Amino acid sequence: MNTIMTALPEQTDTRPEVDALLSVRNLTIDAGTKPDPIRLVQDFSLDMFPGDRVALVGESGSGKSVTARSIMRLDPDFRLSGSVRFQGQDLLKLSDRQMVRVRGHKIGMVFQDPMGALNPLITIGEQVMEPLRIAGVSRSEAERRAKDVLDELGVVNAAARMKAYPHEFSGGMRQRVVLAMALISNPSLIIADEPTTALDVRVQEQVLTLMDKVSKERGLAVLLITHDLGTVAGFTDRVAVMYSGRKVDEATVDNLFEHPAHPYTQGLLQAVPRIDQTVPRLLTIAGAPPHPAARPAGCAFNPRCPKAFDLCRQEVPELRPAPGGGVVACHHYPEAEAEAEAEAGEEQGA
Amino acid sequence: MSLLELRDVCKTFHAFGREPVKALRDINLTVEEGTITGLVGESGSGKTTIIKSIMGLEKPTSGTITYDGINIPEAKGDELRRVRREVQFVFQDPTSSLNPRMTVEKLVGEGLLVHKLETDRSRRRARVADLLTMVGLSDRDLDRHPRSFSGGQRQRIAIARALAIGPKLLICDEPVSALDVSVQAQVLNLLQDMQEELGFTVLFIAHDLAVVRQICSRVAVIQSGQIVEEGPSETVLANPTHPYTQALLRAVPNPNPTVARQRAQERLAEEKVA
Ligand SMILES: Nc1ncnc2c1ncn2[C@@H]1O[C@H](COP(=O)(O)OP(=O)(O)OP(=O)(O)O)[C@@H](O)[C@H]1O
Ligand SMILES: Nc1ncnc2c1ncn2[C@@H]1O[C@H](COP(=O)(O)OP(=O)(O)OP(=O)(O)O)[C@@H](O)[C@H]1O
Ligand code: SF4
Ligand SMILES: [Mg+2]
Ligand SMILES: [Mg+2]
Repeated sequence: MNTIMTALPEQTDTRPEVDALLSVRNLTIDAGTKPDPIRLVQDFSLDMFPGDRVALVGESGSGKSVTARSIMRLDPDFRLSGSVRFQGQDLLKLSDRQMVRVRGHKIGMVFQDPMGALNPLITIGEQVMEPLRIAGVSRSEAERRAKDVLDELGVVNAAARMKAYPHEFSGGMRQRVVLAMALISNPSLIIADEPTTALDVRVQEQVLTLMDKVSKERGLAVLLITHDLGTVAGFTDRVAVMYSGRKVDEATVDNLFEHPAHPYTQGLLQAVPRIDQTVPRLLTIAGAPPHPAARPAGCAFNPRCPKAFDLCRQEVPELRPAPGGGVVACHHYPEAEAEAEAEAGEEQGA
Repeated sequence: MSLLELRDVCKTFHAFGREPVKALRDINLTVEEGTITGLVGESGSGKTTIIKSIMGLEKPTSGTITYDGINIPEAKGDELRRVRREVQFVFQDPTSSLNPRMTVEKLVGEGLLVHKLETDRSRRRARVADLLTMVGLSDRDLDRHPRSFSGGQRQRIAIARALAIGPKLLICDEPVSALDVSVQAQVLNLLQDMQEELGFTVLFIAHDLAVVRQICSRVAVIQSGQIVEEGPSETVLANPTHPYTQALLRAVPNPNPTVARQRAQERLAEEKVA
């Protein structure tokens, strides 16, 4: 490991928490019934500032969607603790009715399957207008704004196409419609869960470019959930990595790709086949992530970790400042050393 | 020597009250024995229609599909049985391609039974156990059901099932698209190792060009039912000549922030112009 030698300046975040748009603290999510609840997510924390673009990555089942859905309180069956402050207000303390006014209005949502998000029996126009109509905006005003946002997203001939039904649209066009629904109320944050995963690469690229454009022009913050590290590299500023229900690594996108701190992040990056090079064999991470009801003791990654040692099988590592900036949960980085390195890094950067 | 050859294959779908869909137009494709050949293209380009034609599930409107001297659409009797035994398939979604009520032993051993390659139950169980070890599972998994495995493990089971009867040609339709990168790497390595060890031939359908570059020696690019470019994957992917291949390549996300951001900038500029 050479990250310690080449400590980079640049802390992930030095901005004061009060300015945060979204500030999640120790979000813990339980599912299942009382005698045997299953802990899906443990102590998840994340700050997002206006205009921030943050990626949440990790293998299937690591808890990305559950976390995103719980920020929006979409699953009434989950038991949530911790806090989710959005524009200063703890969403976990709002009533269900108050939450309706946040969801889809102040925070927009885009999910993987555009067909599932759209009602096949209702015209595109009605669906895009719906959030405004619920908020009491007049029909003509809602129509005008729906047309504008579809225009903004490159839907040609928007006025006419608002009369069409979802099945008349291609996958990429449908995802634009879903994006339009998320954007129409002028939210300051969008949570996009695998918005391009089901699309072809070229369509994927178009949709991402649109999200890129819109978020820059509007100063919109985006939480992008994906398992595709390539997508992350071009679109986001910061990356949080989840493993088995915990955030284990967080860094700026440059640091994460150049000097990944967590052994899991290192493994993920090495496993990606590259279009610009071939290797005789891809490097893999052995095994598979544990089931949430059967996590191993200590660091949940220890059975798969090439760097595991005794302590890893006994104690869960806490998140600590990482040598190159950001935070990492790994016993490989001793507390004192990591903090000293982080300070050294800060001085260098100043 | 070519093991599989498609010559001028056309397939047009006629549906009542609709324009006919020309799904395949004069497809010419050769899969050389002992190679891994990639077939890439976007959704709706005709990849699955090619596979279904090879499986005999769709009859081409015109053209020939020859496997080792056998004309597949016309094959009957012994020839058909030979094709069924020697050509095996692995699909994208291992969950729907594996019967959830069967145990791993039954799933993987089914071909051995159907093709009467191993009719003795305990010997068959032993063969299946060997196959499981070969794909990185173990004999402890014999009596489990597919539901209790992860996606990557299920794909290993599907590969073991396809390899059980010693196929000469393995056709994989997007076998790693539904898997995480870490698991994808395991399955790709497994395919590569098995192919090197056993020497079978693979037709590998994919939409991820980086995956194709990693494991295929040759690649054919299909657009709207036509092969637009074909050649050694190193050449095609390093110096694509067809604009469609070039566009596909440009769209592949690059896991290098500097390069990726520059591409994003270019795209934004293009978007403004358009
Ligand atoms: N309603 C539920 N009840 C119980 N467990 C659940 C529920 N929803 C999800 N889980 C479990 O929680 C864990 C995290 O799931 P989640 O959907 O957040 O994963 P993910 O990181 O989004 O994965 P993917 O990349 O496959 O979308 C998984 O083990 C999943 O099986
Ligand atoms: N049974 C059918 N009837 C009518 N049209 C069909 C039929 N099967 C396929 N098609 C059409 O043929 C074309 C090729 O489809 P095919 O499924 O082969 O594409 P593909 O390359 O496998 O796409 P994907 O990546 O989405 O799986 C598409 O336009 C499709 O709509
Ligand atoms: S804590 Fe130990 S097992 Fe976990 S990632 Fe770090 S070195 Fe590996
Ligand atoms: Mg998910
Ligand atoms: Mg297909």
